Amino acid sequence: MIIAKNLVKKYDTTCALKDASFTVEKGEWANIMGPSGSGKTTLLNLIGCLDTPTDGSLLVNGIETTKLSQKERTKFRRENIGLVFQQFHMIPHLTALENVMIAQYFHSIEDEGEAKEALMRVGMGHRLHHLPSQLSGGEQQRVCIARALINQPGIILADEPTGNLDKKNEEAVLDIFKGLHNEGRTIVIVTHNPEIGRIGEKTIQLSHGEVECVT
Amino acid sequence: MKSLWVRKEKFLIAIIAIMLGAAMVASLLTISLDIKEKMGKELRGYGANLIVLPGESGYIDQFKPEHPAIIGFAPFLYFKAEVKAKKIELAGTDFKAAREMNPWWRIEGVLPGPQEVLVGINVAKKLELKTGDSLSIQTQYLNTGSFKVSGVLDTGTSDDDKIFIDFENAKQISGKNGATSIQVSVLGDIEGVISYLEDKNYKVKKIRQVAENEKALLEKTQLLMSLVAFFVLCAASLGLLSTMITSILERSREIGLMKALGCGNNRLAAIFLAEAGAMGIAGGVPGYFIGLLLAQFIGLEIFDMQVSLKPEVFLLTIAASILVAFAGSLLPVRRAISIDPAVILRGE
Repeated sequence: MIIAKNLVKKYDTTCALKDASFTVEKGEWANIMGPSGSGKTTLLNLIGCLDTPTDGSLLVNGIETTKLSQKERTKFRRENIGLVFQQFHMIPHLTALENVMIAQYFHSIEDEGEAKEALMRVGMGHRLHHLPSQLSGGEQQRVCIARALINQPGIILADEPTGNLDKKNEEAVLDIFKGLHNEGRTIVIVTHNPEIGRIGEKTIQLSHGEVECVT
Repeated sequence: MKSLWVRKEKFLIAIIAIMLGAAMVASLLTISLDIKEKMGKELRGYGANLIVLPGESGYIDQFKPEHPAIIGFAPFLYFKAEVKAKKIELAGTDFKAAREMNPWWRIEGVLPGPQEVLVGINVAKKLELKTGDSLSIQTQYLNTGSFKVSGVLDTGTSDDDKIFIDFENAKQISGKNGATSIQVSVLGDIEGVISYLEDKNYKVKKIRQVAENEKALLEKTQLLMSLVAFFVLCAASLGLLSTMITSILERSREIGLMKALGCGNNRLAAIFLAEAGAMGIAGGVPGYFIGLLLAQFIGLEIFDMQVSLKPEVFLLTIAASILVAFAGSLLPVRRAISIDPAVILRGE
């Protein structure tokens, strides 16, 4: 469960987020939508403990993350959050399997069998030993989803996960997210995509750094 | 380690720099430990540590020490005589014992037998003598017959101004009954030996038997090599620093991702230090072998000694290489730790 109260994020004189308040229930699919520069990614980074708010309160899985130290935030992220990026962000000299296993390495211990299973689950069982440069955009995003899942996080945060994909790959990726949602995971997706907007149970609409509405 | 391998060309210069530094360290340590040890062994095994002089009597005719630390001695009887119409200092000695006490003596020819002499190189020049020549020795006591020159002695010391003859011959020629001094070699309790000999009414002087110039040369060589090693290691460290900084800038997105995936600062530092350590080993191992060759060359060319392998030098060289690699990585690692994943992953 995510509860944000009056979240503020300022960068020098620019206010990226103003008094953002909302709740995302456990197992809910929430989309963060809004025009470019409205603070969507900033909000996602705050939920994912990649950044700290200037003011306000943010409870994630019952923990007040604004009060955590940098070390504690890293630990919290490692144990509770799975991240999926628009740009995929894979380590170029590691294979698909190794890119998944690196998340295991940072979390606890590497388990090749589990990593293979995660890749098979996203339909990448046949591309385990391929480098990112040998994979299509859709394939890379599926590897990233497998990486986000590998440590069994309760919350999946995705920043424009289909932004760089064609229609077919977009559908494949959304199917994976639907499966994860059906398993009871909390999913928060930053998107411009109206189709994803329709799938979500909740939409947090941002405009100029403010929560315009939560529907 | 895979990331190191994919950037091997970039790291090659840093590894070569570490290798050169390691070579200097290895050769310096080998020379310092091995040649010093060998000099020490020669000193303890053969060289004299003490000069024993007669007390009141003027001569030492019976020298039979029974101290366990005394491992050898050689008597010397110094006197002047006329050779080829010139006053020359003669030294009577037991050649076998004297040779063991003075392993650095360079003899062109052989050690003298009966009715033979060993001529110091300066005397040989002065009297125009060479191996195989004959000479006669005159004193107030005796006008001897002919002595054959068995060899020419070159020590680089005042011994080059003397003619050495057999101790018993010397006693007859000089008319003296014993030695004027005795070189004593001690292994262990030197102060105990001094007390022991002083109790027997001898005068005892400590002497430095390791050739001073060789010792000085060793010290100068060590100093020079230490300076070179220091600067090469500094250069290696700087080289590594610059390579690592470049690498971290290139990998900032990768580092940001690692941090986003939950990699803590300690683990991130460990990853980069492990890479640095691997570079230290990659440069240190070949550097050690190059250093050995260098030490062998210096040993043979400068000290006329063969150096031998020392396992501790290998370990110390590798440790120094890793240390240098770590030193060069500290700043880059701090830079890596300071990377903000949110900023990097946004593409800023």
